[in-house]
Amino acid sequence: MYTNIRIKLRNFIKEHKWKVILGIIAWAVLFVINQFLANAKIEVPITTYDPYKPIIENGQTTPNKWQEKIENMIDEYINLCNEKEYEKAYNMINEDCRKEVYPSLEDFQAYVDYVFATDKVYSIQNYSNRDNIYIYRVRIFDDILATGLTNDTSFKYFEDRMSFKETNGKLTMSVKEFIDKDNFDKVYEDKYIRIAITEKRINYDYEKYTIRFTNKTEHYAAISDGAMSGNIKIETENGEINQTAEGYEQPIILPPRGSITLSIQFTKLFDLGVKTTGMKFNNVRILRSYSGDESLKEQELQEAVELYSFTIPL
Amino acid sequence: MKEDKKTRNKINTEKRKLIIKLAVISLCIIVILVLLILLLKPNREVDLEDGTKTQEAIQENREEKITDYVRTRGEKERMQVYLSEFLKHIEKGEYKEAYSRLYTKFKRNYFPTLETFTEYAKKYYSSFMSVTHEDIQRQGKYYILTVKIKDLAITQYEIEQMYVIYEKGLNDYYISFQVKY
Repeated sequence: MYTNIRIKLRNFIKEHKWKVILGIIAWAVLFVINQFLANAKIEVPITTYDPYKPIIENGQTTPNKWQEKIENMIDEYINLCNEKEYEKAYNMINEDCRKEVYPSLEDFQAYVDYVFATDKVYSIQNYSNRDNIYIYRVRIFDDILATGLTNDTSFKYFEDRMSFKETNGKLTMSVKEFIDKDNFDKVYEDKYIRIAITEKRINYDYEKYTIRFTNKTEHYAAISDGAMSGNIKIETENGEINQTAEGYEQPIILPPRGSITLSIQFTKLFDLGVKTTGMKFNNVRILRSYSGDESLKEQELQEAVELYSFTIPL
Repeated sequence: MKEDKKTRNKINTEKRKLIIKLAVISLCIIVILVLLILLLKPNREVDLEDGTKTQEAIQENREEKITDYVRTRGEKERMQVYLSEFLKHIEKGEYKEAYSRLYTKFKRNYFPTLETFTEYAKKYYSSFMSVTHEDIQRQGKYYILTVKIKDLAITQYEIEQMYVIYEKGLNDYYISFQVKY
């Protein structure tokens, strides 16, 4: 029996001699390559730096497909700013953001010349994610490895929150904490006044509304005694928020048949994900006369045509 | 005639096949040999007549030990080790080794040659220093260490200084520092 096996084996090898030799050599080559790659693997040091993990966690993370794309966009933007390629860097910014933050290329150029006066490097950190908008904290600073912080007493940096909005499978980039802009057509009208809210700008920490006020009467229409008066608020799922002094802070008093368009601002953090449900005007006065004199205010109120409040749903 | 031609063609074809097979086998053997050579770590420990190792071998040994040490350490400890090693080179007068760790642009800015760095190191560092770590912060991939360095050899003079470290890999880093004038 063993003789038969030996004969069969010998005949097999005789017949397929070259195939056997080539097979053994191929196996040897693959084995050695495998060993080589196993020894050559790069060890990645342990670090706490995780740029894709959001600082404010609300269950959303930047999808894997966008992580590298976002990093590349930021890298390209910073490099273009370093190289003073103003127009190319400017065009990377979302159009709505450009109009709001840098209305002209010259405005953007002034920013670049100021921040990037010397070559800069940067670090990124995912800050928060909500509603397909991914916000990154970007710190821009001198190339500290090249300077060793010589002549500096401390580490200084410029910080920006850049947002990346996913729309129809594409990403658009905004800077300077600008998040989004909505065009509105919310109108309130009664026999005395007309209020049209035409635009809402969402920044990281505030909402700003563009509002046109029109007085339809021959009397004075006192809408607000100033930003700090609390006469204008926005209503949210979590409660009311007063108007802030940023934006327009003066009293809103319309003369007979007068109109004015203003931007009114409210402090509201985008991260909270709280919806704005309405804008409340809680002390509208239609006055027969208005002097602006505090001592006459009580008398003017007593002679008022109408005192009322209302909320415009948003 | 025809049969001769057929036989000649057959012989040529066989020859060609054999040459190809030999070429393939030779190539595979060469690849295996090259990879084996690369796999085997070269033994640089040259025993001289008096039994001492070369400076290069000692340094390589030390670097391997440091790499093994930092492999399982957290980032804070690794940065402290890197800074410590950098300053040890200066303490021992190993200016070339210390210079090799400096970031290229930093060298260009402040120490374009080894001589300028050596001159600086001799002036501002001593052969016996103590280091107190005051602060460490990470900015992205950059680490900024604030330390107090005291000259224990002669003057007892103490300075506060910042160092910047960028880690490319385990025990593979760039370093730069606040240059004093």
